[in-house]
Amino acid sequence: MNNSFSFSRLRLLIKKQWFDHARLYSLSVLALIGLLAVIFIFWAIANEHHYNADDTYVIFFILLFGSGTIFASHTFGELSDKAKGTYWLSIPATHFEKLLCGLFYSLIVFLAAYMASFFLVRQITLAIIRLNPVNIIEPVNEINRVATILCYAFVAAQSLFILGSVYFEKYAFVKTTLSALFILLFFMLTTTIVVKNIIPDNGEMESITSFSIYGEPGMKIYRLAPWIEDGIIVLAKYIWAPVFWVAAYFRLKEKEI
Amino acid sequence: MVSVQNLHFAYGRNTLFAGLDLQLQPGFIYGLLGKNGTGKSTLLRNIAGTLFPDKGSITVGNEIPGKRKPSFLQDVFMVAEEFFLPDITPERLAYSNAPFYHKFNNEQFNRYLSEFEIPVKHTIQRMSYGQKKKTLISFALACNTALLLMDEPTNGLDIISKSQFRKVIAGALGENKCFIIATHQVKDLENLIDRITVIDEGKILFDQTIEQITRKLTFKISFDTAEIHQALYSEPSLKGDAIVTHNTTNDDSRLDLEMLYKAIILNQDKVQSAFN
Repeated sequence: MNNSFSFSRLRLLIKKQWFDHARLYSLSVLALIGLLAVIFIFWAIANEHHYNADDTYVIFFILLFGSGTIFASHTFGELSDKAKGTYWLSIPATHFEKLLCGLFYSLIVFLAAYMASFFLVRQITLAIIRLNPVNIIEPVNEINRVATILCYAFVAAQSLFILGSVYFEKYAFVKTTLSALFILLFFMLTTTIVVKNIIPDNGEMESITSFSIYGEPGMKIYRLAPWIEDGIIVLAKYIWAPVFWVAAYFRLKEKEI
Repeated sequence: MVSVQNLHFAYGRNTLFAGLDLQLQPGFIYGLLGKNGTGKSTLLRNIAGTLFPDKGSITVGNEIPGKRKPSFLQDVFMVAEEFFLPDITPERLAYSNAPFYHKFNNEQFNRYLSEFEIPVKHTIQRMSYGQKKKTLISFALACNTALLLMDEPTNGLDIISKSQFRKVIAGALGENKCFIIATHQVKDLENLIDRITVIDEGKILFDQTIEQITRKLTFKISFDTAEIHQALYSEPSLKGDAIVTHNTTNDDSRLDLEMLYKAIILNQDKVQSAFN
């Protein structure tokens, strides 16, 4: 028997997860559609005759992060309950397969369901708005510039809350949020202190890999090689999610109930 | 089949086991008895791999439970005292969970459900606690795992169900299977178990087969004051004094598990001496 990874076991896990939670998932999608409908009705009423499509994407990302992280913080929610946790840990599949199943539902299925719900409500709202010829809808413009970064951030945030669902037995969402804020604050403070001590008083940081020194005869800019900067940017974009997945995997392995 | 060696386990500073050794063989039903909080459930959870020993080792066959490999999990089933089943019908339960257990037998599952008189059209959350438990026991038995761990399986079962439980369990044991039943309701296991292991304060107080027990001890009603005085354990009953005493005359008495359990707990040294 393959004790490392089996596609057929993963398929069974995904199927089982669906059977176990089908009702909850269906009700969650209905609740999401209801929430989106309320928000879009409010948006349609608040903007009289002049609508900006960018606003809909602001709604998209705020609700995506909000509902996504709440959903993700329940990914391994079974582990917070002795009975459910015993049931879940006893399923004959590897920790890796169980993690993949969790990622599948919290990242792929959630995103697909969210996008389908969002665009359904959005298109219906816009169609109703267009019924009145007086109404003007400005096309999407500004949001495109930040959309890609927000997508990376979403996957990282979602992965962090998945990790939080393994780490924290109770109030996973609140505890993960507080931990993330604390770590972020700590990182910002230490970075500020380190930068203050490294760079002279007449200098300042230009970017993550360069700093400038003001003096006579003029300003000097010191920067690391471009490949280091590129490397740091790539790492900042892509490293978080895999790091959180690996941490979640090891935490699952050592989980006791 | 199950080998527990030098098991140390503690919840924080509360030490439960400090060097527990236990060997269990296939083909038997083991009764793990003990007071509340003596570590019966913890021992089962260590064997099932949901808890890890602080020190020492546990092996089930050639597997280490704590690794929770699929090859181990598909051959072990735990009916926990606090259990969970998703809110689906028993049929759906079998459809979604059974493929993980390569020896699962659907015919057996349906037979057990029928014997336990489970309303199979209901989803599990619509069932009573006892019906849920019997559904879980039916599924567990139909998985035909080599090792079946049951923690207080008769809790919440009515008198008829307890009798059905004993019948079903007795019929499900095979020569390659090992059942471990942890309970403090010793009466429920009478005529069912092959070997009794009593644990208390992290130690094995008593570990003997039923055959050995009935050969060495007698359970009877006595009116003889001297006999009552010399008994390993006695308690007054309506018909005289119920006693547990040395079986010096090869009597063939009926084992009274509750009396034996009390004798072990209250007079361990004397009971143990009967087996030395």
